Formats: sequence, structure tokens, C-alpha cells
Amino acid sequence: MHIFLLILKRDLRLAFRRWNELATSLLFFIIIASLFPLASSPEISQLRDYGGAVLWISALLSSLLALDGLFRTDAEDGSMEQLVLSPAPLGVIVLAKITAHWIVSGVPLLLVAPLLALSFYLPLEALPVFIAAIALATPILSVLAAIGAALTVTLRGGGAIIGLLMLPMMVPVLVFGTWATEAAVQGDNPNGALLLLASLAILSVSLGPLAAAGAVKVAME
Amino acid sequence: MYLIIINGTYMVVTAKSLSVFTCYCLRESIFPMLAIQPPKATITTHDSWTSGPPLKAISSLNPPAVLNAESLEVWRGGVCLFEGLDFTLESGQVAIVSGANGSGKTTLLRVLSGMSRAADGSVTWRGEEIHRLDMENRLEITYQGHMDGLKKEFTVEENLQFYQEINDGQYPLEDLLDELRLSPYRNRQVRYLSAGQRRRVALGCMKVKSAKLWLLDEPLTNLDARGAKLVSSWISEHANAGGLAVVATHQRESLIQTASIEIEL
Repeated sequence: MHIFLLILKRDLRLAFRRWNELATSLLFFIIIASLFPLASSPEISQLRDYGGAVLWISALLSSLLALDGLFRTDAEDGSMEQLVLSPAPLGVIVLAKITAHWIVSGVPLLLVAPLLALSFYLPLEALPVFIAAIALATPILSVLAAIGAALTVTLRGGGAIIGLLMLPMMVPVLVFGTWATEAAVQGDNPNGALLLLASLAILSVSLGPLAAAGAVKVAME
Repeated sequence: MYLIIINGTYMVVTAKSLSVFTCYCLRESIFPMLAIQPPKATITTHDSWTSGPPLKAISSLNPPAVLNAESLEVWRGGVCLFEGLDFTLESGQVAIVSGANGSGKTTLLRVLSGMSRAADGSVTWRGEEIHRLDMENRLEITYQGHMDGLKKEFTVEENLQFYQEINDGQYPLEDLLDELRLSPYRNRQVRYLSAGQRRRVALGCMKVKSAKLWLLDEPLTNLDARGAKLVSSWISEHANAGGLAVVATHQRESLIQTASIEIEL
């Protein structure tokens, strides 16, 4: 626990010293989402139809941006070597790094997404479900990001490959996320999709850090 | 979806074991045929150089602090760097690793640290396999590689503090900053320091861990004469206090007086 907090504190402090990277992925999210009404029609009924899908796709794409730096900077300056060799279990270290990544990329997304949802005229009644779905999805995205980042940490130009590798893995999040949002917009029961998202979140948070830690260990050899 | 992940890691693992297997086959089949002998490391023991610190009383629970390498064989990029390397380093001893560029000094240190695996042979610390150490024994080993391991967004002090906290180090930071002549820069971000100053911070990070076994890869790079002298005095003090060190270096002359074993790759 001590180690977890130590790494979390370190990564958060680092992230705030590189605040411009933080802002980039959030602004990217807002910009992609606002491109759609420009490219198609800004009519309320249509916005409401594709609003959910647009928000989810934007969230997925913007989460790819913040992902590359998760392990790469540590691997390049040698901190990763030191962390791998430190007495703490690597899984705990990776979990702390994922948590920090979620706090700096997932939470801002969680705060901005409802505002964007309102600008897409999503009904107010659907908002709690949408927020819940995003809250469940962002940890999954952070864990998947960690696995992708760990697998590509030693590759040059890993950024592009990460996109190819991770987007297919993010499909379930997209499917269940939009399903829950659509159901709420239509007034149907969204519980099924939310529960599936929740189970995915539990699965990824419990096993993902171990997979990422394994990949980091192989990469450092 | 998860199949892909599992498959992904699985493939990485298989590719790795395949390459080790291929190396093994090559060694077994082609080397005897062509009668090419892989390079052999030479080991010189300098008994007279050992200062011989008094042996501390060792509790029966804890095996003695001994780093033991047994018939190590290391391959990199399809080439056998060395094979049949045996040495034992005991409390108070320092080993200097020398050799030409690409002779495997860094790889040897990485193998000794447990980060990389040797193709054959074993490395043990206190009688335990190096990559299976428990937390307590892991705390006793520090590795300082070519890369500094410093966060350039952090100040000198923050970097030192982080490594001290994560390794439960007890070394007083004030003294360390003075020794390293870094006190005026303690609140400066590492990105604004020169290469030599960064190296000094990195060595400070190594020292704050209060480890028993130091694995140092080219610790004198970028250091000025005073810095090099400081490192060499650190190593002798460390050995006199019963510590162990394996130091890979090109500046053999600066460190040889501290050495009790010399490994030439």
C-alpha cells in the first residue's frame, strides 16, 4: 500500500508538471465530438440519434493519445529499470501507474462528457446512465492502455502501433457503452449493458495490471 | 478479445524461448563442428588488494551475503558473449569488470541484477536465485545502468527522496547533497543540469538506497576528476563496511585499487 501511494503520488506530480499533455487529450476529445455536428446536420433529432455514438468514439480515440507516455518515458530515462528492480511487486507498481493515468485522463473525461452530452441534446433522464457508463468505461480504457503501452514500450514509433493494437480491444467498451446510452435515451432499461460494463471493469482492473506487469518485465529483459 | 492479449504475450514468450533454444542448438551443433570456441572470460584475484574487513557476526537465519555466479553463459543478438563464467564475491569484496565495447559488461551486470536471464548457469544472492528474491533480499541490491533513472521534471531533491522512500533507505540527504556538491541545485529540476551533474544525482539515488550489493555500469562516465575520486572512495568505504560491488568500467586505473577480483571479458 505504501509503495502504491508512493508511485501514485509520483506519477500524479509528474503528470501535473507536464500539464500540456493532459490538456491535449481532453481538448482532442472535445474537438472530435464537436466535428460531427459540423460534418453532418446539427438538427436536434439527429444530434440526439448519433450523439451517444459520437461521444463514445471520441472518448476511445482521445484515450489513445494519453496512452503512449504511460511507460515510455520511464523506459527511456531508466526509471523503469529501477522500478522493475525495486523490492515492490511489479503488479502493484503498474496498478499505481494505471490509477494515476485514470485520474489524469479518465476523470477529466468523466467531468467533461456530461456537458458534451447536453450539447448533443441527450435527454436529462439519460444523463445518469451515461455518466455511470463512462465512469465504468474509463478504468477499462486505462487498463487496456497500460497493456498496449507495455507491449509496445520498446518499439520505436510505438504510438501508431498502439492504435492498431488497442482499438479492436476497446470494441466491447464501445458496444456496451453505446448500448447503455441508447437504451437510456430511448427510455429502455440499460441495466444489462451497465452490468456487462461493470463486469468488464472488474475483470480488467483485477487481471490487467498483472498482464501489463508481465509485458513490462519481458520488455526490460 | 482477451485471447488476443494472452496470445500476444504467449507469442512473445515463445519467440524468446525459441531464440534461446536456437542459440543452444547452434552452440551444440555448429561450434564443435567448426571448432570455434566462444570467448572465455579471465578472472584475476588480487588477494593483496583486499583490505579484509572484519567479518560481522551473521545470524543463523540469514545466509552470508555472497554473490555467486556459476558457469554463466550469455548470448546477445545471436552471439555468445562469454561462457563458463564463475566467480564468487563475498562481503567486503569489489569486482571490476573490464573489456572492449560490446564484450558484454552491461549484459553481465543486467544478468547479475536479475533483470535479464543468462542462457545457462545461475546467479545466486545469499544462496537464492537472483530473479526469485524476496522483498528483503531485493532491497539489498542496487543496479545503476547507463541510463540515469531520473525524472527530468523533478528536482534533485525529489528524485533522491523518491528512491530513498521506495527502497526504505536511511542515508541522510543533507550529507549526500554536500558530498555530491549538489546542495546549491537541490531545488533545480534535473532537466536544467549538465550531464555530469545528472550522473552525480543518479549516483546519489543509488547511494540513498543503502543497499549491500552495488552493481555499477560505467559509474565514472561524464564525471569530473573530483567526482571520479568521490565514486572510488565510496566504493572503498562500501567495501570496508562489508558491502559488495561489481563495477563495469573502461577507466580501470581509477578503480583498480579498490578491486579484489578482476573479470576481463
